[in-house]
Amino acid sequence: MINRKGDLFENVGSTIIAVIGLTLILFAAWKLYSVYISQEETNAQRFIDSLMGKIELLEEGQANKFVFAGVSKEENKWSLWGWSKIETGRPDKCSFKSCICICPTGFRHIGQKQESIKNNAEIRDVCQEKGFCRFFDQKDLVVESTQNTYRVGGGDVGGGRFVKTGTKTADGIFLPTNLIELEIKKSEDSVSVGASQVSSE
Amino acid sequence: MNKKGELTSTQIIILVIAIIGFGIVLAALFLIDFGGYTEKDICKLSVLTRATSPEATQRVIPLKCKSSKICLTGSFFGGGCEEQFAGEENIEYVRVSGKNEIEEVIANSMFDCWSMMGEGKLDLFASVKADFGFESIDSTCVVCSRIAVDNDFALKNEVLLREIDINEYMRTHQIPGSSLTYLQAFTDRGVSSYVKSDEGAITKADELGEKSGLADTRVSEGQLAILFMQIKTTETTSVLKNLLAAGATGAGLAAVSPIGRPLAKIAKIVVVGTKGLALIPIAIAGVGLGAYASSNAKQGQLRAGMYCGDFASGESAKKGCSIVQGIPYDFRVVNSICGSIEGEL
Repeated sequence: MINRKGDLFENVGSTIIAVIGLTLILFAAWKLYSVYISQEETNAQRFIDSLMGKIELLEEGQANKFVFAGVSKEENKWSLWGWSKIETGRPDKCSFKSCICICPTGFRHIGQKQESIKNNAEIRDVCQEKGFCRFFDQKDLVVESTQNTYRVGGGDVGGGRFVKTGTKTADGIFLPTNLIELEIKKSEDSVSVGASQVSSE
Repeated sequence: MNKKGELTSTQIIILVIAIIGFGIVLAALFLIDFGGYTEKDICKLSVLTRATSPEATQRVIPLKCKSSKICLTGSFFGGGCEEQFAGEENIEYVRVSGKNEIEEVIANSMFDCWSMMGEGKLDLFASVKADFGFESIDSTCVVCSRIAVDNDFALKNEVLLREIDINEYMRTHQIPGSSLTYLQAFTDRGVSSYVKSDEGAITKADELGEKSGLADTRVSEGQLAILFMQIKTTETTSVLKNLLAAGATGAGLAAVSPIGRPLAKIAKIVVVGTKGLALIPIAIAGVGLGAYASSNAKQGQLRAGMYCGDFASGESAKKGCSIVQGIPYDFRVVNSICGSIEGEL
């Protein structure tokens, strides 16, 4: 048998160049892929970081309203949820502190009763797996929307006006595709984030 | 003895050069500092990238446009607008002392927005519904700038702020570095005056404003948003009528109308506690496109620069309307015009 010890060394230069080149190509491909799938995630992270900044800016006992831009081109795809320190049924991420999360939960849960929706396992799981959460030392954290309910009534055919029928409070804030105004209140023991949203009867 | 496994010096040199070369490329990828580019340059680059991309990939390419935050202040030492820009970074403080300077800032913001977004000729957003209705709007917007007047300055210069006339400024002043006036840049080189207004359109705007409840909006923060909006449609004329109404509705909340509407009525809509920009008139420009110009006399003045017609970019011929206008930075007003927002606030 002929000893071919030297064969590999003759090609080592080309091999190294090829490996480095492939690495660069794979890196570029990964970058492009991450841009493709992560624009909404980037927007969501930016949203929650901005919200945190505004909350931290407030002194205890203060309240203010801030305008935020939505994170997705799909209405209500992303939503805000909050869990207090002692609440059960929250994501594992929020085990030891109050937390606020932005999660791609979708539209399905609008209008459900306050006491049931936040403990919905689906919301908890989505927030755990795909949501972005931030934590607070305050004991209580409330994220809720005040919904003005409307029905179509009155007016001529094709020109019916929306008639307000009442208001109700619901867990979670569903983010629109355009702007939303959030009212933030901060005290020693609690943080609340609220928004006015519209729903139909 | 022939040692086949030994590298020759040439091979070693090539190897070293190759490794160093790739190392430089990698370092460049990770460490390149785009500080030389302003945020406007980056925005414009992303606009061009998106506009020239295949339609299927347009949605994927993000617009890297951040709203400029401009604080108009009388202070020599910077600072101001703490209420309006609470907790925000990268605020540009512009010291102003007269109405010309304020008009210049607003006019430049509008022009910069228009030019950065491609003057309306680039197809930037995914297809939207052609029908435009006040209740359901599928237009896409970018908030180019937010301009606020420092409260202290506003309190001391209420009279000055009421005298601001951006229309006149844009009609009579040239863009820095250009022989065109702002009005000509938005419309046509030959345009040197505004078209007579159409009271019918303004009446419709009032009706829309009251129906929506926007007439009672409190513009307490006094920020002016310079907004770029684009909507795709095949019927530009009908869209223009609606855009005029919606844009005028929003603008009406903060505008001292140059077309003779009583200031008192505007003040009622604008509300108590207004400061600074809430009373600054929004720029008005005519429209310089053949399809719209033919009905210009009837449409009257627009509180915006606008382009309607074929997009210069894109694979297939598409029509649409793009508009840049100043409106109160109130989420209800913005949402009445914009179905969705892109870029960072």
